[in-house]
Amino acid sequence: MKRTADAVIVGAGIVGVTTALALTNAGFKVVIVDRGSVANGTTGSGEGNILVSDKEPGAELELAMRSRDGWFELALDVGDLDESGGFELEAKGGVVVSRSEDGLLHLLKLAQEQSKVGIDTRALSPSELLELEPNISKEIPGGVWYPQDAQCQPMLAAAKIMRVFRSRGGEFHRDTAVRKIRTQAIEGDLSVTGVETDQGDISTPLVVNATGTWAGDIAKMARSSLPIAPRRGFILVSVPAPHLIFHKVYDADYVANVASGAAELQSSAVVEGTRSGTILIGASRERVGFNSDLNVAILRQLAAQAIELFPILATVQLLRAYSGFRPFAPDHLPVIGEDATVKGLWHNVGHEGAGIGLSPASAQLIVEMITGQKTFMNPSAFSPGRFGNHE
Amino acid sequence: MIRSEVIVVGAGPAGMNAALHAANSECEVLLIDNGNRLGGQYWRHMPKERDSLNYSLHYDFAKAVKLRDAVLNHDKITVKSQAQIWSATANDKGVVLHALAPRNLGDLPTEIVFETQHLILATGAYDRALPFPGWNIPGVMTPGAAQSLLKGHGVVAGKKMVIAGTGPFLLPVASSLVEQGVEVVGLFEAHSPKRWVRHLSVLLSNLGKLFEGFHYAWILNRHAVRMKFGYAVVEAHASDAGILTAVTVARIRPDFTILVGSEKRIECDAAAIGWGFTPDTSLAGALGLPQKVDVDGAVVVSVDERQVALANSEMSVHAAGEVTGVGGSVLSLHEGALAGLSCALLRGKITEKQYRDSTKNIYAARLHAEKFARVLKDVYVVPDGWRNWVTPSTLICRCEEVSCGQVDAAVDELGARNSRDVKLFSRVGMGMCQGRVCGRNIAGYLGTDDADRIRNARRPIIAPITLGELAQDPLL
Ligand SMILES: Cc1cc2nc3c(=O)[nH]c(=O)nc-3n(C[C@H](O)[C@H](O)[C@H](O)COP(=O)(O)OP(=O)(O)OC[C@H]3O[C@@H](n4cnc5c(N)ncnc54)[C@H](O)[C@@H]3O)c2cc1C
Ligand SMILES: Cc1cc2nc3c(=O)[nH]c(=O)nc-3n(C[C@H](O)[C@H](O)[C@H](O)COP(=O)(O)OP(=O)(O)OC[C@H]3O[C@@H](n4cnc5c(N)ncnc54)[C@H](O)[C@@H]3O)c2cc1C
Repeated sequence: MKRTADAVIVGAGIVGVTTALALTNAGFKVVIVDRGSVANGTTGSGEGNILVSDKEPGAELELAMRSRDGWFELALDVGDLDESGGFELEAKGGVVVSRSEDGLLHLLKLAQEQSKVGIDTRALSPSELLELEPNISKEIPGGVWYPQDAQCQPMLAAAKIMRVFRSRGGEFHRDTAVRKIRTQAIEGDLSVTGVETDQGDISTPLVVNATGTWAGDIAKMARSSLPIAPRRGFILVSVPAPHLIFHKVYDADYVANVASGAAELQSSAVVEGTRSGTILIGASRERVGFNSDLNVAILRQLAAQAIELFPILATVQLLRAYSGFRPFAPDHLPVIGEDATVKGLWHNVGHEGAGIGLSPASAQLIVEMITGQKTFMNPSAFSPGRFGNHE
Repeated sequence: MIRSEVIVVGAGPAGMNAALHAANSECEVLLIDNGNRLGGQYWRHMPKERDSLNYSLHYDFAKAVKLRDAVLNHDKITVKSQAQIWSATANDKGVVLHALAPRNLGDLPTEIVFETQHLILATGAYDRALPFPGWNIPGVMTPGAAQSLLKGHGVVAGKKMVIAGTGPFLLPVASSLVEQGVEVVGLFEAHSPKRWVRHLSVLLSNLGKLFEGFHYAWILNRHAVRMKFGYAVVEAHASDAGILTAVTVARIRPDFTILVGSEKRIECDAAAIGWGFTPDTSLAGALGLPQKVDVDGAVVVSVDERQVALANSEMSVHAAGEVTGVGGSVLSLHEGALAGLSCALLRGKITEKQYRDSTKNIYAARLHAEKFARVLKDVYVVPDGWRNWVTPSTLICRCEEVSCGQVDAAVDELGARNSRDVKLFSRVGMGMCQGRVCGRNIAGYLGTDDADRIRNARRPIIAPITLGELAQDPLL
């Protein structure tokens, strides 16, 4: 293992690898460490949606819009001229629907506001909806089409980005857990001097915490704090059933669920077909710590909601189900920037249910801040200092 | 919700005997199985009208019938057939099983929830296939599949068949097929019979097994079928229409590498090839039972002397039969008996003394059968040499059509090291079988450690269920 580095990135999820590649491209000698392998954390259970449709105008939508383009740039950079990046990147488009007239009015209003900030939206009549999704329930009064919504296969994306990162001189240590962040008081400020891992120590002035749901542990190792908590989600995966569902289709209630801070279970139908033919059904949200026990009641609710959107799904077999833990911050916004008390400790965490989609722009933003360049957007909404001290 | 004092899952030799022993000690037992009739894998019966054929297909069918009738006629045992458990959870108070079953015979299956504080798991094993070029051609199957076609539907898999692989199970399959008029054009055991020499004393103390072997050999001899030792099917060939036309067999060394130049082609329209058994630990994994890797490389439930896998003052889970390690029907019967009696003891239906008195002989018999099982695992091992039968284009995962070359790429280019990495990067094991067929082979191909094999055998959805069935409220 290298004993010194310009920067050490902790965590080889999608956020860690995109940050590592961006820093490498900026000329840094970067080492990534992960206690497991690449995509070993939440990235390994993410669905890979890259969405602009599910966000209200504001800082997160600005980040999402940049990130959506960032994904297509990244695909060209790592994909050997393959436009899908070799990780199934595809601008398949999103269809948001509402099951009630009232809900539809709300949805159309949101779409109008989104289009003011540059999102491509199109209201859909029931017949236009049927044209896009022939199997959708005839009961649905309408929806909105978001052609910019895209999708990728996040584990493959992380692995391919890692490969290019290494080919450009980056170093990756798997099965290497960070135990401690070393700091030293320099001119009155507490500054990072290195990391201690179970495989040895690395001296570095710069540590990027990209440990997602586990980010609070790393902050604590540097005697700082971050209020990141797990928000569990279940996904149902069907047997291959190609040509039933063509886009990502979800219920407008989803936007409200995402924004809710409640701990108890919320769920709304998110349905999509994938390249391999399987249909993925989400999305539940609840805060139950790191408990991964299968909960049949939740699976049942997800299945029922999906069938309400697509009655034909009643005949499709469920093949597997799994859960993952979204990195949740109290205000649902990611944490991107330098720690409020420890110099040289940077955080790129807390992307909750959108970390795949938001990773390229988050990486760009943090690298712009680290290198003192002009940032493409105002990063203050993501500041780690916004929570105050949580000790 | 249906509650029972004791629930047994799996109505093979182990499950039936467990149910019987618990019920004989006054426990109320619910016996759940996904088959139409009792029997499990090996004693799986044909529909009633073909009962006479069952006798010719099984060496010891009379024993099976006796046990089956005792279970069916017992007033403390309720049998729930055609019930597929698809999900299960355990906590320190008991076990909840979600099954898909007809509420009444003839109904469409719907979800039924079962609860108990004392579960006996006897989910058995299924036979193992190894990948080789052409193993995915229709007509290539496992001996178990050939036998269940015959037993379950009275259908023979082909007219001219090759039977190959390793293990004593090849003999009964070959015998029942020749008796049904199939021309067995080749019967190949991968290992040499000389491997028995080290274990002669065990063989001689299991004369029953030896006679069973002679019984099959006699049937085969009558049909002029002779077993060849030290050969394996290493390639299968299809016609332009994609149908099996021939297989290539080759001499293999004890480590399963091919002796180059020994290959020869045999025309056939079906091939039954099996490499021992893989215990069905799906339910065990969902319940979070302790598991380990057995000497034959299979992931099994780990149990104590009394077949207990998990227990506290309020609940217990026992496991018996092949799910605790492959060992044949006799060992399964003994383990089932011990599990049933241990359950009765925990329920306070018998005293510790009664338990000890009634189990003394069974312990001895189990030990004897275990010794024999260990010898079988040694004689019929499946070493990793099969890895050089495959080529980069050979599929390792049939459901998702992932080739060995794609797995190599996940390892070499994307840095995959374990089963999970390879699965995420190549979709291997993500299809219909959820790794039941390929999971063990992938771990073998990668050469991963025990922890990886155990983790990889975990699948929370035990059997597919339609979203419509899932969405309905269960029977409460
Ligand atoms: C069910 C579900 C569906 C989702 N669907 C989507 C979607 O469609 N679109 C989308 O954009 N997002 C989605 N998400 C969210 C997305 O998966 C996450 O936001 C994203 O993966 C977070 O990435 P990350 O790199 O921050 O964290 P992770 O992928 O969790 O990576 C963190 C890494 O840090 C490592 N680590 C932790 N502690 C240490 C330590 N002490 N030492 C060394 N290494 C350590 C871990 O091993 C891990 O690999 C979904 C999430 C869930 C649960
Ligand atoms: C095709 C085949 C042929 C065999 N032939 C021989 C032989 O000739 N001689 C010999 O000694 N051994 C033979 N064996 C080995 C045989 O498996 C054991 O000897 C014996 O049958 C094991 O008994 P068991 O009770 O452990 O399990 P099994 O007999 O396998 O019974 C397990 C039962 O549990 C059911 N089950 C599993 N999971 C679930 C679930 N989730 N929900 C509901 N039901 C479930 C299964 O369908 C099955 O009915 C054979 C095995 C197979 C597969």
